[in-house]
Amino acid sequence: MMSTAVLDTTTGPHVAELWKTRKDKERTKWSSILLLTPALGLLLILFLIPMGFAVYLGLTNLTLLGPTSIHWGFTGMQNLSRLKQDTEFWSSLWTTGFFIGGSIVGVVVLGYVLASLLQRATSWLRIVVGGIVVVSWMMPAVTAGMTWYASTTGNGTFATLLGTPNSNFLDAQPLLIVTLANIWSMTGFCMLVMGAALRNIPSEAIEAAMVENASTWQRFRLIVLPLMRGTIIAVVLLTALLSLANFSLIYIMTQGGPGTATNILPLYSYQQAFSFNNLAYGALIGNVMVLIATVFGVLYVRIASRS
Amino acid sequence: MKATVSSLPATMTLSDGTVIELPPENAPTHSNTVRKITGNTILAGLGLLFLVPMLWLILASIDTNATWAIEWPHFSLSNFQAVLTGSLLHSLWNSVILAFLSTLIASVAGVFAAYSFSRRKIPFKGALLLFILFTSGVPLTIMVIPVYEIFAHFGWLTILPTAVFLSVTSLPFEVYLMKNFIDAVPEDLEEAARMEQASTLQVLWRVIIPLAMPGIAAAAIFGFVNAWGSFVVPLILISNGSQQPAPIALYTFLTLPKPEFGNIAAYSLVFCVPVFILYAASSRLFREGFVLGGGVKG
Amino acid sequence: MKIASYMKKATVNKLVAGTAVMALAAGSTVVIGGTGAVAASKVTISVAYAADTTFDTTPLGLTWWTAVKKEFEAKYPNVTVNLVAIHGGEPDFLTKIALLYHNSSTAPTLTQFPSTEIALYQSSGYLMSMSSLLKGSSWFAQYPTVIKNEGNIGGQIYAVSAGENNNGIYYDKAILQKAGIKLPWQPKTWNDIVTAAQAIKKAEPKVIPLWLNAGTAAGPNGAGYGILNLLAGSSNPTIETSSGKMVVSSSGLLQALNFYHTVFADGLGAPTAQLFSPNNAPNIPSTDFAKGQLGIAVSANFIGGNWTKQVSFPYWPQASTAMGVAGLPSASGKGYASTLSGWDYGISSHASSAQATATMNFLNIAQDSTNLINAANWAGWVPPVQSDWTVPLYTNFAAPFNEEFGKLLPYSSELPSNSNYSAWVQGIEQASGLIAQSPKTTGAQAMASMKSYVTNQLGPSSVTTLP
Repeated sequence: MMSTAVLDTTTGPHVAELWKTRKDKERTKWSSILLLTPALGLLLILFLIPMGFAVYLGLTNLTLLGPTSIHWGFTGMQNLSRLKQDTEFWSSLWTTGFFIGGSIVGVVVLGYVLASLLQRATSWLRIVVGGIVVVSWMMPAVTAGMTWYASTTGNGTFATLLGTPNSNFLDAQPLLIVTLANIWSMTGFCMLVMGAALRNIPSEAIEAAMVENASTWQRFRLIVLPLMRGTIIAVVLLTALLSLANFSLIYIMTQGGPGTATNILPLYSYQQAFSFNNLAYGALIGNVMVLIATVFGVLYVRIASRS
Repeated sequence: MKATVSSLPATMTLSDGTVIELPPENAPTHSNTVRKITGNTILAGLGLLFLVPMLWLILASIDTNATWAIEWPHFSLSNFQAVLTGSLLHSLWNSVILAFLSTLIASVAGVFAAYSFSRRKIPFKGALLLFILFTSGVPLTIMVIPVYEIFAHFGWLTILPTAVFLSVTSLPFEVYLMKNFIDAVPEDLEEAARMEQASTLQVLWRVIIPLAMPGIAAAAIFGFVNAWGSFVVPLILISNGSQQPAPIALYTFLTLPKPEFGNIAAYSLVFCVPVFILYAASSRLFREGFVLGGGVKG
Repeated sequence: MKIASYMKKATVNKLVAGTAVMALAAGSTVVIGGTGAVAASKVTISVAYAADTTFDTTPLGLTWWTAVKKEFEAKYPNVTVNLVAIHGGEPDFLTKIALLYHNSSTAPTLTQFPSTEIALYQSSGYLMSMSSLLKGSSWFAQYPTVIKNEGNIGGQIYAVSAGENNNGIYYDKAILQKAGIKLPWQPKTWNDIVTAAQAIKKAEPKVIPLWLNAGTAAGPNGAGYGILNLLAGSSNPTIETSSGKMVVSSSGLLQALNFYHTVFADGLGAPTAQLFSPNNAPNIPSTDFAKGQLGIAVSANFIGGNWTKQVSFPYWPQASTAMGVAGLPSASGKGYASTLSGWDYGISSHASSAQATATMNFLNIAQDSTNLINAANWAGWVPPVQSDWTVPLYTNFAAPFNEEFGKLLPYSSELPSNSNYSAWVQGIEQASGLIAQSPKTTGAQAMASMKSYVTNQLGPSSVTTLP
């Protein structure tokens, strides 16, 4: 690094050189942009543009079939006022809220418990249980939906194991069951991420707390929680977003039913667009989902930066 | 990293100057054993709970007369034989191509982008990051229609362009995940490399990627799992029946008037195998964690 | 001289004859060459069909389509047929077809689709009028009027039926006998059905007394094989008024829903685990009957075909003697009631005239007696040509079911096909599902929930209530 005190910094050709190596003001290098190009390029062409079109679609009267599938156009606020009065939409919003909220709580709590227990378990148990939980995460949604359907319907696994073969848990408490299925299918990833983060907590801190006879709960609250804050918030966001977008799992299990009990927003949007042929209205509901995701994102950034 | 006896400090100085000896964490004290047993029991219990739904899958796959109900199977491996042939096997191969390509594209693009976001000054970085995050909330079922129109126009309704689109669907999460882990790599290691005239690519290859590997691996696995299980996207974007991947074949199975549950279960299990192998192979990375200390930055 | 002149004459004659032949040949070559120029050039048509949900099994469908294609290409070697097999459930098939039609370059020349979509495709401008092409089609002329009119929109034919589904009652003879019911059984009123189901429940508590499709899991077809049959036989079967409004409250709807309430409140219906099964609940009765676990079912004609060896869902050779068929009585007791819906062929409006002609030739082969009946047998249809209902190839297939449902077909009434139908049918399916799941729900309550749901979806100006 050059010492600016030695050289004449005001004139001469080396001034330009000096400016290039200034460390107090970082400059955007062309290589930075180049590095970003593949990702941003893909996102722009295959995401931003179609998404912009989808947003526009939400304010039109395009249908999948019928006269307005050929001759369609901008309809302004019409779809929005329909949305406001659509009781099904508001009920779907509530159902989605329960689904997301329940999933977050389940995934974070279970993920943390598993991660911390896994750390201190005997090695064979760690491999077996860790493997089972990770497999449940890696199972594709179609399979997960099928196995949970088989497990919770009448004469299914849970019913048989609990000795009440005819109990149909799925139809009795559909929203609860699909939320449990969702938690089951997402905990694995949370466990992995939290496990990685837990390993970063310096053991000295734990030891210090143990010396001062801190209980498990106090240890958790005063040491683990603050240090894991970033990870926990990231996991919460991830779970929220993935649950918000969950489609295949519930589609396989209940198709949004019985009735509209599990008709969360992605399913309702799909139903409007493809079952009822209202592509535009379905797209609008999709746009609402994007708005909700944005709110989550903004909250995340706010909370995460508050350290 | 499991703390071992030798790595712990033997003594500690309290605030008032007293020096005390520390008991090792895993010393065979009574409370330690009790804790370990309780922990193991709870863990085993949770593991069993997670296993229960999978019971049907396992039992039905070796059952010749499988139904939705769980029952003692008529043991046979015929289901596996039936699904590892012909078009079903071909669908599995299509899934491999789709997932592998999609993961490759997403991971490479993701690492570049994550590094750039992490280390470099980018105009509108905050806004761009938010935009990337925001794209991950977009519902695929609506997105797929405009993409379908575009691909149909160019005649791209085949497996390769679909892989590219799939890579885009996991790109946002991957960038975020990788960025978090790259943030944790200390800058001085990079500085040292730069002092030795390393180019950006060399820095990436020799310093960043090895050190952020757990995060990169986690992101890549996430991308693979995402593409492997993807259902709606190939359903709409691949019009050629012989190029469709396994989830479509599985779903078709399910909607048949005469579903062969045994075959369905066997096929599902086979379908899970590659992903499980991936996890097992990379689990070493997760176990070792990353040795740099410092939490994940928010 | 004479010989020479004779020879000359002969030669001349020959010459003349030869010239005439040559002229004819030349002329016909010109003629053939004219059309030959067209006929000799290749025409390609694409034929889209649902690979997994039309025929009873995917292999059967493949067999049928491949055979028809082969027969056609042998007869018309200058035409290439591209079979576009679309996999997936019916909703996915419909979405794919809509997407294919959207682009004139991907629109299939010939498509086989459900009859409930005809009006939608036509109003989107996807279909070509077949009226002129059908002139001289012997098979179409033999359709009963109600089936001919399936594709009739504004006087033009836009779609022709490939096969029809109608509905009736299946019953297990042994179970009914045990319940003390006289055979052969033909209920005269809806009450007769309830009484029989109650008797079955008393005599055989482990058996499901009566199968009635309920809920949304089976997709839009479920209602057509279930509650809509009761509606068709009710005091007011109107679904859509002449002005295009959907009926969300009527005495007919109330009657049908009340029937469901009576059945499910008495515990006579099937468990929701079966009714809401995500894979093809309407076919479950054939398994239940074969296991002796079901007494009576209101269901469609294809159940009979499920017991044949070709379909094997499950293979039950004793079905023909163990099972009986009865017509579903109307609520008033006069005659039978059933819905009518089926699968139809439509030609793309973007097809060239050469393609349209080629497609018509293809249809003539697909709809010839053998192929038509094979399709009916393997897809669980009643053939649309009336004379086929008594042909042995048809009646011997799933005896006696095919024959019985052929006899019942004249009593069925066509389901509507308009853009509001899908939301309406979702509403009635939800109402029936509500009763199946919470049997305390009365018919009036279910109808009220249907009214609010459908009004919410379609808007108040698209719905109406009738007495």
